[in-house]
Amino acid sequence: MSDRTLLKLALRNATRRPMRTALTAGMVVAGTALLVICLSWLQGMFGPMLRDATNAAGHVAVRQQAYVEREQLMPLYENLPETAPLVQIIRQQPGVVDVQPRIATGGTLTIGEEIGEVFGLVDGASKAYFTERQNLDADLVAGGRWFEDDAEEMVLGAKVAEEAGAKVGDEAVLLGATQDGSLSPIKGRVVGIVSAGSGAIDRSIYIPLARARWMTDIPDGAIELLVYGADYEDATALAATLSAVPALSELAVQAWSTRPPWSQMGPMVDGIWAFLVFVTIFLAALGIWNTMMMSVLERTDEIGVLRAMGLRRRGAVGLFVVEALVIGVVGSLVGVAVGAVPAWYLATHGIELSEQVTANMGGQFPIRTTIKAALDGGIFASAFACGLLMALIGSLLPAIRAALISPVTAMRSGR
Amino acid sequence: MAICELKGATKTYGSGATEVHAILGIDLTIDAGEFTAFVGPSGSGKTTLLNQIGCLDSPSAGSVHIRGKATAGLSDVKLAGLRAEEIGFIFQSFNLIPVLTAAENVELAMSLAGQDGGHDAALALLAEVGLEGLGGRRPNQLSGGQQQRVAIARALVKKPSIVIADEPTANLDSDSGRAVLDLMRALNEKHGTTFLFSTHDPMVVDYARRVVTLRDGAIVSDERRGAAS
Repeated sequence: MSDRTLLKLALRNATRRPMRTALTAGMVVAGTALLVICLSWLQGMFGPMLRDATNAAGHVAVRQQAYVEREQLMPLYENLPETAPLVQIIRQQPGVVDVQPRIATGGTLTIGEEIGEVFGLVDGASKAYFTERQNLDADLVAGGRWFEDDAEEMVLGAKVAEEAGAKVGDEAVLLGATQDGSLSPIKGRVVGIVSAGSGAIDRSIYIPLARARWMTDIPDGAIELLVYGADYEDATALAATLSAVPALSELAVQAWSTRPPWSQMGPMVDGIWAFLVFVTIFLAALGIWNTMMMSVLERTDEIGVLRAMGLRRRGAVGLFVVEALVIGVVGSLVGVAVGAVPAWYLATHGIELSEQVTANMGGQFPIRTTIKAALDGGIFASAFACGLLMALIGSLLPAIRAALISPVTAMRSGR
Repeated sequence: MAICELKGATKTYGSGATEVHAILGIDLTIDAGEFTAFVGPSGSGKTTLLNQIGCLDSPSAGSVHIRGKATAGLSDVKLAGLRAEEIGFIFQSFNLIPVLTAAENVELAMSLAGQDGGHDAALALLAEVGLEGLGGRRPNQLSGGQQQRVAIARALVKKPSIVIADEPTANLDSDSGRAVLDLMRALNEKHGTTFLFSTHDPMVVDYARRVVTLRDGAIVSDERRGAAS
């Protein structure tokens, strides 16, 4: 049978039982719309999370191998003692856009004469790292500003400030430790408070890199060099480039996706996507299978006649698969349109999560309090393709069943 | 010239105690241009025999040759190809595809046989079977007799060697049945196409030039006649 004839027959058959076709298309519409909503929501949740996280942790991090092995203990003595030459070499590599030295440690904060025990994550880096890479100045509460690199200033996360009773303009003492473990206090004026609704951000104390170096007694070094390329998704290639640089051969050069928690979270996120897509396709295909099987049973004698006339088994399969794909195309287009409406609403308004939720989750991941769906052509195309897949999978078994019908048996049933 | 030859053709269903021979050791030769009726009571093996000739089924034993080609052991694809090119079917319930027009039903047969020029050939043949101007109608807009004419056109359009008609008049009144038989005989004489009927209808038997009678899966008589009424 020619393709044109096959398509004509499939189109006519698709309009033969309007209610049944509507039911079949409805499965595709529901499945596709659900996918548009869920995928855009997941994209909206994980996309910004990944951007924020890679902005904070660098697309690629260069550290001492020994530090990586004991990372959770934050061993300051496993530092990079001379960062300037390394920064210069790394900046010359293709694909490198920026390099930021950073010292991350812990400390307790004291305001005024009170001796406080407010613990915070101490983040020492340049002003550019916090304001241009992380865009944290956008989360400054009114009346504050970011510190200057050469000043004895600091910015506090909202939770730390609240627990310490700190406000902008206060003199604070940050008690940290040197790389050999000695207590090391530094003074600084609180010039800003950031409130991002994220546990990781709101529980931090931000100080200039020079002050962090002084506090930790790493005068010319840092714990890590955070390297940025044009896009965080290209981090693996960038890491490969840097790993080949002789000056970095003794160091651990890691793309963000290979470092905890992302090394565990990446497969988890992929798993969520795959599970969601699988369940949706499976359920919709089950519905399509049901209605297509009814069509096959109803048309058994007709299939027999076509087979008697010379239709091959492959042609019988094609007849039902093409019919399902015709329904699938229409259903997927409608489904994308139907799903786009709530997805657009979620993209515009988002859903507000309580600060408690984000604070609990944000201990490891920088989750924002308002999560908005992300709409893009890729999601629509994926949902459309999945809609066709639902139709294809749902129709395959009935089509095979149709193909296996013997013409003799089929015609006997029609007598 | 023999167009179809059966030698010891046997079709067996089941095995052991449940084994049934639908046809048993049939020897039969059909020549080109025959107009033959297969008669016999229900269960005598008429349909099974025509299914063998129509390449819808293969024999369990013995052989069936269509234009010299043995059908036993042919793959499903090759059998389908043989049916598409060599065999036309006419059914008692007409079995037109309801979503296609009369002309499209006829074109479909050409398409399945891989032949070109479908639409014009379909309209020409519909005109030949007395359905000029009705090519755009769907089966439910045609009478039973008209539907059977479409089925005849569909069977003939690809110029098959053999047309197998299974109780072609069973669902028609006697006037329509006679008209359809007149048409088939005219086409048989004009194109030389071989027509084989399975029937209980005495009118069909009257038209046949050869009558093969079956009973219990075997041929009990094979009568050749001169020109029928």
